[in-house]
Amino acid sequence: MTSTKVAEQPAAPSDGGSGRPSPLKRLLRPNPLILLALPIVLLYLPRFVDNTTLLQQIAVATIFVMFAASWDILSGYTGQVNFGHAAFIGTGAYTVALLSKYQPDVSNELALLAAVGAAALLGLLIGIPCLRLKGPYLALATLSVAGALVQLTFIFKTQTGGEDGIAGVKTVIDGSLTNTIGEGLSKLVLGPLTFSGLGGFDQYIYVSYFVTLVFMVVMVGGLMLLGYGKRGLVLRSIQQDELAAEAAGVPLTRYKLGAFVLSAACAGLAGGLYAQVRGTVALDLLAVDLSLLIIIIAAFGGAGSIIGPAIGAYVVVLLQNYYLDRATDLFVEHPELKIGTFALLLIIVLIVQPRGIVPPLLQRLSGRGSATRAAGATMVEGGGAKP
Amino acid sequence: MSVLLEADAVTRRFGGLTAVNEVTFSVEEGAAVGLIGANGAGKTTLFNCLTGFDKPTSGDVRLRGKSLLKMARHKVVKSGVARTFQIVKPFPDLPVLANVMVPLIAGGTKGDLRVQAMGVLDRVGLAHRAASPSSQLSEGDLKRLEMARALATKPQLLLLDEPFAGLSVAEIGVLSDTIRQLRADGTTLIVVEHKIGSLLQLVERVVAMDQGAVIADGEPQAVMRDPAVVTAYLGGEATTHEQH
Ligand SMILES: Nc1ncnc2c1ncn2[C@@H]1O[C@H](COP(=O)(O)OP(=O)(O)OP(=O)(O)O)[C@@H](O)[C@H]1O
Ligand SMILES: [Mg+2]
Repeated sequence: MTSTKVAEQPAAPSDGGSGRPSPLKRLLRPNPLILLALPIVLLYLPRFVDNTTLLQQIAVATIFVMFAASWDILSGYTGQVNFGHAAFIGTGAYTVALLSKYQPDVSNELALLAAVGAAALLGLLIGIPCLRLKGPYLALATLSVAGALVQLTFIFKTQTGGEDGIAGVKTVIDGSLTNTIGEGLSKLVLGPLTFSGLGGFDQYIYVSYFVTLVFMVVMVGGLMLLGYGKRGLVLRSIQQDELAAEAAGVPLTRYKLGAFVLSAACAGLAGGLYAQVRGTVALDLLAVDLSLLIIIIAAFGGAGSIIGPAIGAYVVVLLQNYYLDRATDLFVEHPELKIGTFALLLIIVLIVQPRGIVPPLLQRLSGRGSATRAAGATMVEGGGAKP
Repeated sequence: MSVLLEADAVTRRFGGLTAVNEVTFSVEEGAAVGLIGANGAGKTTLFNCLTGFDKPTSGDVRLRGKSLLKMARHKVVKSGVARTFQIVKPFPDLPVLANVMVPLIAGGTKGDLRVQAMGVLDRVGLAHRAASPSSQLSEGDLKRLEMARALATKPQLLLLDEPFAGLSVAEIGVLSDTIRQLRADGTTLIVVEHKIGSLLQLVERVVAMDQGAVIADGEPQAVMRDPAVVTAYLGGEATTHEQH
């Protein structure tokens, strides 16, 4: 006799069945107004800050925003932690530099496309064998690819310049698209006369500043649309439990490889643009230091949120390239202490706020009460960098 | 009625251990089959083989005559086979609703996914927890979430691995109603369950396993009286009622 059924039936509550999408809708996305504020502030900043050294460093930081955000869509979202993101960045940068050196007739825009293509191809080539790797093995594999590329630059020393790198790369000023964007926005923000009155080098700084900003906003905006949309949810589910994702019908290989290729392509674009901003490429763009710095930035800002690593990049890179040098001579004399300082900073941040600095902050700014706070874990999965 | 799923001499060995041994049976469309057996009998391993989560050492599994063995797991899901895990596998940091949205997205569902996911949650009585992170759910709620996520793939064949484990009597009642409704809607079911009493209210056929092999297969009362089943699985309490 198992007829407990009748008595049980009233226990079936169907409250909320009508669907209450609005609070959940908010959970899945950060407040867009807050996100819009950032690019607008950055756009008009040069009107109020005429310190060109600082503006130049902000432009560099903006490039790093792209490095970190492109790392995040793979590692923060799917949990395939890439310890060799510099491989994609360097591939993009060297593609642009080599084209500039050997095929100077190729336009800057086309060179950037080539950078994207080369990095994406590398992403596919690395991504396939990495599909089966996890944790430390994946870390080693990605790390060694970047290492192998460094070796490659030595093997082709005549072409790549080895340790010296390649100088004289065509810059953003030489590219018609980048120059148009840069000049246009410079004139919009500074006024046409002011901009024309600047010296050549200052003009280049402003053009760099605005070009990097536009590329960054497009890239980060695109990655956020993806990350906070349906596909981003699927990527997160993969990070949480691959088997469960497959049981839910997720084509695992397609998503994991797709994330690899997209991450690589974006890094390649950012690397290529960096080459056009600096006018040089060198081994620092393939180095382990760069890969590690990106992971530090992402974890510090909040992996798995795109916006976290993006803001983290501004904080860390401006500290590294600008503020620390002005704080004490120690860092000027021993720049190698910086990455250690950041690692320490990261440990402290992660102890206090394991999800990184940005996601909890955004949640508060978006006015989410404590009731929905916990569920906001969707917005960001702070343990994104779990090995 | 046409045959939906066929297991053809399915065998799975782990080293020297034969977890599933030459299992052959077929399930007709719209049927509800209970799969019973003592701990370690091989029920979960068989489930894994039937759903593409494990490859049989030998034998074949066919859905509507087509072998599932070479199919990617998501393709198996796409062709209408869903399963739950005995040890629940939620996406812990995602809200309950988002857990159910993943299969909807993967299945290419059109329309407002949140509303649809909410509808699925409602079917298992979990709508009131939609916004909670699944890491905060009770064991019983996790079982329901597991079920909701499988339902969201819109399966024609649903394999439930101990759906009632860890649930209260009241919760079992709710879930039983959901399962009955699924049957009424034409979903084919295979249910592994130790709570025989509750299981027998849902199925019209029982397959009993012992040490990897099928030892009885047929009408529930007959299977429960089968001497092999009595000795292998039920021991002395073969004819007594289950205890919740
Ligand atoms: N991956 C594995 N590697 C080695 N042995 C395994 C593996 N999976 C299952 N087994 C063994 O296979 C046998 C069948 O296990 P299975 O989990 O299928 O049993 P079950 O009938 O589902 O039991 P329960 O009722 O406890 O869930 C057990 O002896 C188990 O230890
Ligand atoms: Mg089992």
